[in-house]
Amino acid sequence: MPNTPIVVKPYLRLSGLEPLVVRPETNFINVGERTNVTGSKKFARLVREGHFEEALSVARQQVENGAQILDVNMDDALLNGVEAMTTFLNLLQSEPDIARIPIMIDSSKFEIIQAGLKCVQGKCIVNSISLKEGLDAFIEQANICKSFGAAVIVMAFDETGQADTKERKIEICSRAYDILTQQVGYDPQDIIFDPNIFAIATGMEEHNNYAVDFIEATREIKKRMPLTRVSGGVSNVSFSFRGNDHVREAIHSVFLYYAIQAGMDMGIVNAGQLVVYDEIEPKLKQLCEDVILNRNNENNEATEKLIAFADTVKARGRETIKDESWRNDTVEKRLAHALVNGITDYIDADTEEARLQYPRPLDVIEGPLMDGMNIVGDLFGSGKMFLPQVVKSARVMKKAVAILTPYIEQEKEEKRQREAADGISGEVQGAAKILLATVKGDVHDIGKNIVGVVLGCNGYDIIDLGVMVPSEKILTEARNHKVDVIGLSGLITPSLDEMVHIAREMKRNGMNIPLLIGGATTSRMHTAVRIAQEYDHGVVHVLDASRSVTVTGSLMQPEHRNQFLSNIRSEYEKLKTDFNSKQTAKQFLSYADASNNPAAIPWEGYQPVKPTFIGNRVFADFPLEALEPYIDWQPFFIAWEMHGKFPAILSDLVIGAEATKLYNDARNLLKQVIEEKWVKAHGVIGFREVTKTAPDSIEVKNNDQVIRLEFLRQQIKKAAGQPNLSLSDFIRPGTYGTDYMGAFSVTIQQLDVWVKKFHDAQDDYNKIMLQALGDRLAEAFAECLHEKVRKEYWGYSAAETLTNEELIREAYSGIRPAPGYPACPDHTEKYKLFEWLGGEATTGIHLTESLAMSPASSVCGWYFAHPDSKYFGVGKIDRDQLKDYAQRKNMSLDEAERWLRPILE
Amino acid sequence: MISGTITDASGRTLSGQTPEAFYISVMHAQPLSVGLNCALGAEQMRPHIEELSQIASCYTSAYPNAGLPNAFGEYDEQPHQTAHIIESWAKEGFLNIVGGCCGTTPDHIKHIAQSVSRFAPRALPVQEKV
Repeated sequence: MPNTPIVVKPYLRLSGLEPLVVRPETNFINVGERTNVTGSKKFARLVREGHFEEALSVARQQVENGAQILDVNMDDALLNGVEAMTTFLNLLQSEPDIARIPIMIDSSKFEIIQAGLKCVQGKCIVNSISLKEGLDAFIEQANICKSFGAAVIVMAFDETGQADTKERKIEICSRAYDILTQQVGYDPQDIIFDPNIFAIATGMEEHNNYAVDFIEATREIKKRMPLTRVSGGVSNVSFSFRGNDHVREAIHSVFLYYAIQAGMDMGIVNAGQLVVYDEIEPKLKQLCEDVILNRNNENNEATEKLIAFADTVKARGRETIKDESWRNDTVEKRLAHALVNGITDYIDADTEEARLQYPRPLDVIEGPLMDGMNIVGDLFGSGKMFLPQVVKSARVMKKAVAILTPYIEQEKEEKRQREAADGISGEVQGAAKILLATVKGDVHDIGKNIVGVVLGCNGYDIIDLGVMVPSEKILTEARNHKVDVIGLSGLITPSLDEMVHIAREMKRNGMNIPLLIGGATTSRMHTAVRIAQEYDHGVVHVLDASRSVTVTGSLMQPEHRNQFLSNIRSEYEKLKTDFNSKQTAKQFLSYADASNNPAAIPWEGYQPVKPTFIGNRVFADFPLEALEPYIDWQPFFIAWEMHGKFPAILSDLVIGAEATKLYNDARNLLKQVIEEKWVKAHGVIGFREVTKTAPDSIEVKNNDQVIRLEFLRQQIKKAAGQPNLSLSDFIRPGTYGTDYMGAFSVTIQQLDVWVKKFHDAQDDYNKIMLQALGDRLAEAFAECLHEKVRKEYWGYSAAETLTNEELIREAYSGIRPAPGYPACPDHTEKYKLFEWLGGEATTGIHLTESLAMSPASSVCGWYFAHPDSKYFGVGKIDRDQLKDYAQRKNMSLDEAERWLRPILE
Repeated sequence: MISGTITDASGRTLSGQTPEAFYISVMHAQPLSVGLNCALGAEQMRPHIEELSQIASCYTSAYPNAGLPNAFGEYDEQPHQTAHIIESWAKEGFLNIVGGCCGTTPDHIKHIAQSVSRFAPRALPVQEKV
């Protein structure tokens, strides 16, 4: 907004050629460690022998493996450290793929650090300075670092030595913090502490608590000095298991799992060698946890067990049986069978066989494969095949095409060379190209992926930019690929504004290709009223994946296109006119009058039930099998565009058979997910004492702070006797005393690892299936915790006995509405919810700039216990409430308007 | 006052930094202003100025060229054209300081000054209190 000052947040900001901003929601940052002569023999040898080109490739490998900061250390007795640091960093600056990320200049000699500081272009990190040599040296070194604009790692080391206990670590870090901020003038966000990670399981009992000391010191440091960051050299912790990488990696993962929860932000790790916490064999994980958390460790018992177990870890395999009679047909029939039935087992061999039979590889695609896909298309068109099957067919098609592509490329190249020799140049006309993207700030992509697959099956060339794509990238890629259509997707309401923005940008940049709008939050009405106005070359709302084919088809036929778009335009014009005329008819109460008409709840004599605890309770790694009974399958079928009630849909005359198949596949995959622990369910709940201080304001007592929640109230004029509801109506008015409220968030973590595996294996069917299951698990988790809350943790409904169906019908007492949804449509209240629940680190959910939760399979919300509390929609509100709300929230009117636009007239 | 140059459509400075990385590298100097000049015309400079205006804690400046040079190395963009583009920046609140670099003439500056004078300068960002 013009002339509204932007707010600069106190984040650690680093840069190489590109920025690295460490936001509260930023995940753990990997610092690449292999460019360290003390830690890597190979790197040390390369530098010593002057093979700097090869030494650079070590750095490049770290970046490729996901290092976000590069640690460079030249502390070697046989090296001239100043010279080596200078040479290496200067060379590194000219390698854009490495210099992209910020540098961490690592040395115990300050002269080497100073030499490094002179070479680095971006804002780097100095690793490290400390109080080891006393106050004066510390201040002098800090001043030099500050003059170069570097962030600085402070090691927990002082005049008397290196800190090993929790108390000493905290004491030294606090002292250093005061000196740096008060005497040197360092910004707190530019200070990073290294509270010393020492080796555990060394056989010395006094070392057993070192990991716990680090973790607990980290927790306290982050609490006292919240803007600072904590880092550490992770591989130290497993030093006594040198030579056994398998166990070391497991120890690192488990250690990080707990240290990150305590607030560790970054660490020096080998980014290529970190096992996923989930994939650690359960028994090994258990043993690692005992050793790291120093549990069951009297007389080094846990240590001994871990050493004994280390050799016994082995992988296991699985087997399956199938019907194979169709294998005796001709290759064409086999390909068609594989496509229609979605079987990938033999597609490699069959495609290869066809390639050898047909004159050109392209003939295989245009012949038997397209014939097979046409059968699929016909069956889908006539309602005999359903989306899940089509997606499976597409998976087979993709695999076959992937086998043929190299041969087609080779043929093209040969043709090009022949033509070049003959002096001709020709461009090959390809299929129509469609660009798909989930807009900036949004992470949801199941629908977009389905659309991509369906359009891909219909012969379009799909360019999928993924999720959280900024408008600039969409426009640039659209131009670069010369696409014919842009399709945008989004699930949360702020995405609507981003779509409007993109439409404007398309106009400003003079684009002339049609824009398709889709996703759960979008609507024909919004598209007509807000988006279509901004762009003149066709904006079409697409209800679901099956419509995307007909819409795109109409747009791609020149003879139909103009007619189609002009029909849409007049349809949208009419919608807009209707919308505008309806607007005037809507009657609002003043906000004051609406506030005087709350839910009629008799408060006299009401005593709120006190929860069994005040505070938060974390459910880390909640057993997945316990969630299965809570799954609501109906939305799962809706995700696959199969509409009908569950379980009746399984025996439906038309789609019953396919629905059953889909259901069985889902149950099988779910079984695997659960048994092999592919994902992790993390959740947290919390209860607080609250006081209602105004009709729509609730103060939450959060330790010694107060979080003020603001709610929105229905403002449309109601029939006589009907209340204008607000969620705060379900909290006892302050004049009667205080009340209680709850909050929760749950998430399914590490789904993306498996989604990516399926994606890389070109298995869209299982990819979409898994994403849909992830969403169901997150919802089931929310339902499961809510039940525990009602019966046990809050206990206001201890005698409740409900069947699963009743649960799904929400026949229980109390509600769990989520910020951003109809009863409390302001997404920004999520910040408070996350603050209440101990920040984003508690469950690993982070909030995007549009306040979508990532990972997408996450649910959060408030708990209200009052028996009269119920779900409702706030509906549209008037300007006077907007103004009041903005004031209450301490937000500019512009900003409040931006977040609340969907509910404003 | 610090001004950088985005050299071409890569959107990077000559030494390879993005505008945000460039700003982060110099912000410890606590400059009065940070901005961009030269190499690009106003039209090409827009996304980078917009980006800087969203992150810089200090004032922002822009001195674009009068468009891109033609085949003879001359600048064809007319004063009202340059001014028209810069006007939209002022309207969006991207800037505090404007001017012209290569190819601009006193007449360009006059047009730019006239067209931005109707708008308030960019409000100085506020630091979030902790």
